[in-house]
Amino acid sequence: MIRVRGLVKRFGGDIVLDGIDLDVPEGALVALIGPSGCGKSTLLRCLNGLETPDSGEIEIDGERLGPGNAARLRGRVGMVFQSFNLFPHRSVLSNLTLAPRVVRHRSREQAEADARLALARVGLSGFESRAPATLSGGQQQRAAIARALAMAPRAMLYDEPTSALDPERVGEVLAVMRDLDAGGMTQVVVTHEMRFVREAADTVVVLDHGRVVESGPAAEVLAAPRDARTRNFLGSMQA
Amino acid sequence: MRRLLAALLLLASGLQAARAGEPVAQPTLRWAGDARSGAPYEFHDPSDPSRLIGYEVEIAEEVARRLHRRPEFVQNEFDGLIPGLQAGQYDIAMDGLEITPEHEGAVAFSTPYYTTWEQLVVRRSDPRDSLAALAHGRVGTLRGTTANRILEAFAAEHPGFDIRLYDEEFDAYTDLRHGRLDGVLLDAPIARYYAGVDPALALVGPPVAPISYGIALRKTDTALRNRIDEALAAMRDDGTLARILARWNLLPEGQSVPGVAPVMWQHWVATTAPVSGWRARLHRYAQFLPMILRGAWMTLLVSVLGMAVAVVVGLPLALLRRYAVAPFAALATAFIELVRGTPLLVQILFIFYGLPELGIQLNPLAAGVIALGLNYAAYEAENYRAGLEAVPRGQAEAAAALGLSPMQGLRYVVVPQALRTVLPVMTNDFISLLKDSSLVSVITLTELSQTYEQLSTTYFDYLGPGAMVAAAYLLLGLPFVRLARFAERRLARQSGIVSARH
Ligand SMILES: Nc1ncnc2c1ncn2[C@@H]1O[C@H](COP(=O)(O)OP(=O)(O)OP(=O)(O)O)[C@@H](O)[C@H]1O
Ligand SMILES: [Mg+2]
Repeated sequence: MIRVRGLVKRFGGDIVLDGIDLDVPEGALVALIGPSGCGKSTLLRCLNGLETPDSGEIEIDGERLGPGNAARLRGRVGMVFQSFNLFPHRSVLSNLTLAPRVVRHRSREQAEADARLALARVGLSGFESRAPATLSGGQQQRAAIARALAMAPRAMLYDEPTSALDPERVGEVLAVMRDLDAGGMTQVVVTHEMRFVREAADTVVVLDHGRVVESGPAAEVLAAPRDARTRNFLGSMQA
Repeated sequence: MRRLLAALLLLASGLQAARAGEPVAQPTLRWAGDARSGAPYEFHDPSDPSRLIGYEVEIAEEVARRLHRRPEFVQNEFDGLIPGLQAGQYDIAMDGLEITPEHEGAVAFSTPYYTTWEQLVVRRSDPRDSLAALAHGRVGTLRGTTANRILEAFAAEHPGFDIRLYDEEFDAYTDLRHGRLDGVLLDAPIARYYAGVDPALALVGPPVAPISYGIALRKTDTALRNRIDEALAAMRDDGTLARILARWNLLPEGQSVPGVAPVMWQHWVATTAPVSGWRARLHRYAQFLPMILRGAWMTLLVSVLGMAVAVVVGLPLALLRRYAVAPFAALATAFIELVRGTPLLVQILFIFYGLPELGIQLNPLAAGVIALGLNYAAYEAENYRAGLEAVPRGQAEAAAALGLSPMQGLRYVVVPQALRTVLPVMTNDFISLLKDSSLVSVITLTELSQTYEQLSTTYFDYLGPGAMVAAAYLLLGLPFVRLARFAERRLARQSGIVSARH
């Protein structure tokens, strides 16, 4: 589904991604972990074209990502941010319908019908006409997920989707991701929620200094990390 | 926005189109003068300030009638009369304009319609009753008049002589009354109307210098000039001119027209006598209301249209500055710096009087709206910029992540949010614009501040009209003050500040 080979990204002189290889099979839930500043966000942003790599290649659904098709492929890869980034001047419903209408030229009726389905999927039926500022953090993040889903993406990318939430609100967002996983959605999640990683992720990829230092089935990597840097990182997470 | 632009374009094509479209058989004769404290030339009737009267008004209307044209008065500052004529804002100018070699360098004149002299006025208690007797005194006059030049020549020969220059004749006579001056030298009709009614002042000495008033025209308008000369000659021959002058008590000493009383002079004496008592004062103020309403309407019209231009032009300026490639961004920056670095008054004068030299002729309303609009556009652009910067980066990213192009992201996500943050600031700017709009009075628009000048100089009363005009400005601004508060509250609610209270 997503295939990355030899991905390199520099900011100024700093190498932030230093030759990343990554395979995300269809329907998988891949957790991306690693210490702060190791390049997790940058990798996600490259995957949906928000950043342009300096070299290497990215294939989405068999199509090679390049300047010509970045905008179109973005519609196929949903992105969810730590700070939700809902459009505060639009109702929840019109947050969801904007991109389908403007980018895909859907009719209002079609876009709204799709949007209601997406809201139902994240448990927000009945919140259509609310302003984003009137929702709780967890509701906002679920609305943001629904907004990405409304574009009918083939994969979803999450950059620390629960880090800005009150602890009691984290579960409802993770539940949505579990539910999507059960429905066969391909997902890549940057997260520090180790319990979620252990329970829900198929694969864990550990990044450090812009390189993949270890990857494998979640249970194995978390239980018996082979790389010293992974052990360090996991140790720091427990502390 | 689009509808606003269309309305503005219409406005720019303005009066010309409107006039062309009118099914009026008679073309207009646009004549200009300065009606502020302009007795007996052209001024607002003290008993009904919305009515323009004066012996020149009667002459102009009679000339227009004989030319089969409809007279239309254009108010302009005295100093701006000749520039406005050259800029093509009106056909002729009349305001006691003296036929002098200096003036004739700039404009053409009809034959004289009135001949008079410079008249010295002193305090009645002062025995010095001639210019020669005041050789060590202090004498005032209006700036740029023949009297001004006479006094300068006199001062060159008398080292102890002191000249004081004024913009309003009323102020000169007031200073004479209060002892700040020893004499005032001005055209005899002015002396008669402003000093002659004051028992404390006396018109003294022989006529100082003869002067002739002519109707000023553009030098190229020779056909019009010939027709006006014919009309004036006919008015002289059939006695019309003498009758007008007789009504205004302006005939030379010893002359009279049988059966014509100096009614307008008597009207002036009666109406400018100081009113006493509250009732009389309130009654007078009530008469100001229609003029103040008209001034307020003009202020509101210029301000609203000017703000519309500012709001519409400011946004592309801000977007160019922030997002466009270097040369366009630099152009936008240059425009903003130019506008913010030069006085608004200069910009207004430049657009109204300067642009016609480049072939761009604007009617006063369009010129005022464009000048105010472009000036405020520069400030609004800065507001928009602050508003755009206040939208979190994540918003444009979220739009991009959904597949919106950068332009779509601006249009649907970033700009609408920026607009909301700038709305309160803009509303406050509108209130400043409302006040700055007083500057368009220099280009013949009779708005509130101009109305104030007209009323106060007609009645020598700055207090009552001042309070009324101040009230009018406040009332005009009030709805926008409330709008600003409302916008601020809504903005606060939206960004969650208010909802946090629940
Ligand atoms: N736009 C940018 N310009 C310059 N440097 C950047 C930019 N974005 C990221 N970086 C740098 O790249 C490195 C990796 O950043 P990135 O945000 O991908 O890390 P991360 O793994 O997501 O960290 P965190 O866990 O703190 O979110 C950091 O050193 C960061 O400072
Ligand atoms: Mg990050």
